[in-house]
Amino acid sequence: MRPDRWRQIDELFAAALEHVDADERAAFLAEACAGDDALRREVEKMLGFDRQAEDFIETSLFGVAAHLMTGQLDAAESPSGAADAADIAAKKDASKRSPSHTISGSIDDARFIPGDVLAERYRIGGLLGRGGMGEVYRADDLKLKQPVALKFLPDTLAADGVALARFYQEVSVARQISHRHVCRVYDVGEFEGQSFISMEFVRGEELASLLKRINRLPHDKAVEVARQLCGGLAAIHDKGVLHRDLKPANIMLDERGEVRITDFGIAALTESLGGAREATVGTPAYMSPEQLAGRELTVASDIYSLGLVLYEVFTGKRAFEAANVVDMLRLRRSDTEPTNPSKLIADLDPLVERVILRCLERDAGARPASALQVAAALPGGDPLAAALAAGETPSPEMVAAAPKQGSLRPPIALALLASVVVSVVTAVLLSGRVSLHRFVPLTKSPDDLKARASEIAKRAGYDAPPLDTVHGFNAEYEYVDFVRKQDASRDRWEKLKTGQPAAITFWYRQSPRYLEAYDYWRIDPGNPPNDLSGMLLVKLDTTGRLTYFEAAPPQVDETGNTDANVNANSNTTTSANSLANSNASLNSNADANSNVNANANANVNAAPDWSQLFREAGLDLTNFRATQSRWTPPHHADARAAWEGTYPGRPELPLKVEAAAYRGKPVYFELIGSWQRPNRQTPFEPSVAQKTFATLLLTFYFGALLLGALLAWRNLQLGRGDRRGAFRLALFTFALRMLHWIFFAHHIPAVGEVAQVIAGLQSAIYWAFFMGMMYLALEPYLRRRWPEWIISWSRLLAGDFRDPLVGRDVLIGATFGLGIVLVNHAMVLVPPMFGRNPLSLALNSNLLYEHGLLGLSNFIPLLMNQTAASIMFPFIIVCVLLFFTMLLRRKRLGLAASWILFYLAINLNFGDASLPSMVLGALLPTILLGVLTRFGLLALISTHFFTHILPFYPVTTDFSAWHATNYLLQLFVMAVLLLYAFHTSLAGQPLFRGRFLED
Amino acid sequence: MTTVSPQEITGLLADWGRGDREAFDKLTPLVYAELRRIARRQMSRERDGHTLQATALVNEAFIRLSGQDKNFNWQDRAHFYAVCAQVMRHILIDHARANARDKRGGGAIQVSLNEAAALAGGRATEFLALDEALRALELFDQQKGRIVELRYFAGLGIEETAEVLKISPTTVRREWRRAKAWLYRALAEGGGDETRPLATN
Repeated sequence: MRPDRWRQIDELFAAALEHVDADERAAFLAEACAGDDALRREVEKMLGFDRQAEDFIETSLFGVAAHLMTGQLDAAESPSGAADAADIAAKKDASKRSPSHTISGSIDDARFIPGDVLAERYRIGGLLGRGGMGEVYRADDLKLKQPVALKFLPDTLAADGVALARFYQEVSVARQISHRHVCRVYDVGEFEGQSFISMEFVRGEELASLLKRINRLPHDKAVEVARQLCGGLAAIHDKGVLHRDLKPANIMLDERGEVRITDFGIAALTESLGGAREATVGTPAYMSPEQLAGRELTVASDIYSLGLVLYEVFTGKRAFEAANVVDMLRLRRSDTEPTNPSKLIADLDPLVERVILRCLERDAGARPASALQVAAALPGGDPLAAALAAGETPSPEMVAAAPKQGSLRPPIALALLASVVVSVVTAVLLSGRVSLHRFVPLTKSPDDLKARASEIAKRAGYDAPPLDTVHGFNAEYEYVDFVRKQDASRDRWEKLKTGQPAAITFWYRQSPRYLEAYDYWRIDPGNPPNDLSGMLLVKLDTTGRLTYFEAAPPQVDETGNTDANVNANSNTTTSANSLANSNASLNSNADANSNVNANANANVNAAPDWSQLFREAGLDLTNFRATQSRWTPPHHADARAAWEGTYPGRPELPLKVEAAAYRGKPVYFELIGSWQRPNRQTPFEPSVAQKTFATLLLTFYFGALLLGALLAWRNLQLGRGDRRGAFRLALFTFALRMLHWIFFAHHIPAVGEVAQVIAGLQSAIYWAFFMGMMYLALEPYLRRRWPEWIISWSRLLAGDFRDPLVGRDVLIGATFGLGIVLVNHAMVLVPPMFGRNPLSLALNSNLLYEHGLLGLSNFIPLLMNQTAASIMFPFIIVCVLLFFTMLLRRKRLGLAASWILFYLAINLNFGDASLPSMVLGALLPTILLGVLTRFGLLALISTHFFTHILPFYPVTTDFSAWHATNYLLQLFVMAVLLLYAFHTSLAGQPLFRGRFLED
Repeated sequence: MTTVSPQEITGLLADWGRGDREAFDKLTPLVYAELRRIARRQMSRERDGHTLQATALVNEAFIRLSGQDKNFNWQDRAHFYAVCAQVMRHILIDHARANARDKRGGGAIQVSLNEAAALAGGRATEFLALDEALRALELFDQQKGRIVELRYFAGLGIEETAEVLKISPTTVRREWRRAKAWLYRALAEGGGDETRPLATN
């Protein structure tokens, strides 16, 4: 037929169809085909076919598909015969011969027919197939109203009590396995002496039949199938079950194309039943060498079978092929190794070949240790993803073994390193405008100041050589805060440069006995209290001017001077006399403006020469006006005095001087600025906010302790806590804290040292136990939810210092850590630009003054302390994040809630926050949470460490200053850490291309 | 019929073509869902055996789709369905050929159309004859060919076919009716070359 003729017919045919009425249609055709009878006949023919074809090909294609596809599988035996019978016959026949689940039920010779109800529960739907052991039926569970598959077991089973018991045991374990790539086992049942298993009915086909039809799977699909297989097998192994008969016929692909492993564990049964099972070619073909040899099976045996399945999935060929069982057994027992997959498939991914060959190692110990490791070794394999897909928490070893490549490309590593260097330089340069110690004149070294303090003591009449002395620095936060709030001038901080009033003070203590702190902690101005006669506390500003003097008078007066008798005679009036004397001195001072003999009285010693102490303080007594003494001296005194004036050169800053003496020696002398509060007499009256905070903190602490202990215990019981990691962390914490104590404590050659050792050990053990317990409690949840966060941490904990990811995370942490330092600097510098109070200069931790300024011996404890704190800090964040995420059930919500909490904690801490500082403050929780979620725990530890290490030491640009040693050491430690991180993160890549150097 | 956005599939296919494995992982459930949807439409009237077989068909179709040349450029939804339909058609033709070869020793195609239902029941030779008739029809009228392919092999309804081909449902209905008549005639009269309605030479 010619196309134009065809088109003519088709058009007329179309037009004719529009005429529904037969007469009209005939009339239309007669007119349209006038003179062309052939055309008319053709169109009428078409109209005839149209009537016949009404249902034609409207019925489903899948009826055809079913027959065509199964027909091919069983082509050899397909019947020929009448066409109208072919349909039914073909299907019937196919189902009989195929071992597959995929064939529709035939009822011919099956034990049960559709409609039979077994055990008053299962209504048979049809025979799915015959497995190695018995028939498999599709049935409806009438109780639970869901389709199930019923697998019948050999008759011999019932007769063998031992085998039956073992079979029940297997099923009881197998039914616990719930995994998307494992076919669920529901229950066992018995009907007319026949045992059967009810299991999930999977709509799908066997991998075996798919492979038969299409040969090998395309690479990507094969990798996906392989990964799912590994996930399912891992879930089976995880419950302590071995599959024992993994082969393509026991693997289904469901209607979503996902793998379902079936028949696991059941194979053991048939083995124990001996000859009950039909020997098939299939099974020995997928057996491991040890299985063929009849030796004990392990996980590694399933891994071998997995290797054979993967071989077939990727190559389309069985690794071992033989015509019949006998040949197969002969082949398998020989030394024949399968052909290398790459010989069959030229472009096979080498990774795939390697993992397959590793699975096929004859030596079980040389095979991958777990199915998840196989998954990890596959291209693009991520064992964490595989483990999570398996619904399992990955083990710490697996987390550490994640194939995550951490190595940085040289340009990126260089850029990070450069940004750290730039940040450090910027921070150091800015420190002159933001760091308290850069404003305060640090002209005198601690040794000079110590000598000066001791000299002041001698001149004040305390010239007995002390047995023990301790000194240190303190920041005067009250004064700094006063300047911050009260002085709005641009150069407010510049005024600190005179050193007076003191923003940093040096303190010096001496004692006739060894100074023993009442805990293991460091001696400070109040610990131990200055309550032993002869104890002395002297405070100086950094240029050596006296700001505070305190001496404990003798407990018993044995000087034998005259007034002692007088006092003894009139005990009851002594204090009254003293007071009267003081008043008298005040009165006389008011006139004379001199206190040389202010306390001169017939009954008491001469008052000390106060002008001497004024000179030590860099003040001129003549500029001061005597006034009523109101500040009670810390010790008993028989004379008191007070003056008012201003700081030299600072008429706007009122200064009050309080003093007291006993027996002519000063026991108290103090410079009191207007900012100074009497902190010894304030009762404990916390505000509502403070009370709430304290309650919350206590609740949180004890709650965390209790919950931590319970969780740790539970995790240990369930065997999921990382014991080794927790132990290492605890040991490391212990070492850090002990080192800290060793260098930090004030050691003495006296019995008291024993108590100190015990206190030091207590503290170190407490922290070690605390960290270990919290790690056991928290880490499994972290590992379960976000294992990718602890990859580098786990590696470091396992001692893998050379790992590129470890280096990368340390380097990234350093970058962000120093970024936070710059943000902190900005919080001091930016708000004044908007006319707001800056953040306090005393951003630097007090540790700077307690340790940083105190020479080499304080370097190590500071470093230890910082390291311990930096390790603990991220766990607090993780703890909060986990808490909120579990509470709110969404990671995003958990993150948001944590962000708000940290924001409030950080910014409320800073007090009266202005808008600029609040905006800047928002950066901090963002960076911290960002680093954690993007780069993980180790990066956050590094961030915290680098944030704090710089401000803990006296940053300076003057490297010859007495306090530069610790700072340079700290720069050295930073440089070593950074270079280590940089070098490690490169993982051996050359920094520059070879040509660059050769040219 | 919008369970998957064609842009999504197109984008993912392109990514996958560039070697992005994640794209493949995302693609798989989407395409499976699409293929299954195509299958489900036809499964409703079928018994279990057929639904299982449909799953096998879906599996195989997916594998062929995923085995496509990765540089394959997917244009739009119509293209996606057309390719699905073609893939399914090819799979079935392959199976039918193999069937016919095995049964008849590679014998000639013999048509004996007793009733339409027999074809649905599925005899390989008849299926191959239908395929041949369809190919002949495509030569005369490409649109009818595509409609048959989408309706029969991709299992699309009238409305969906219209949407994919960007023609009106009425047109689809009319064309489909006539296409069926032509195919039926081709199979019914298939014996002698001279009288074959869809033979061009």
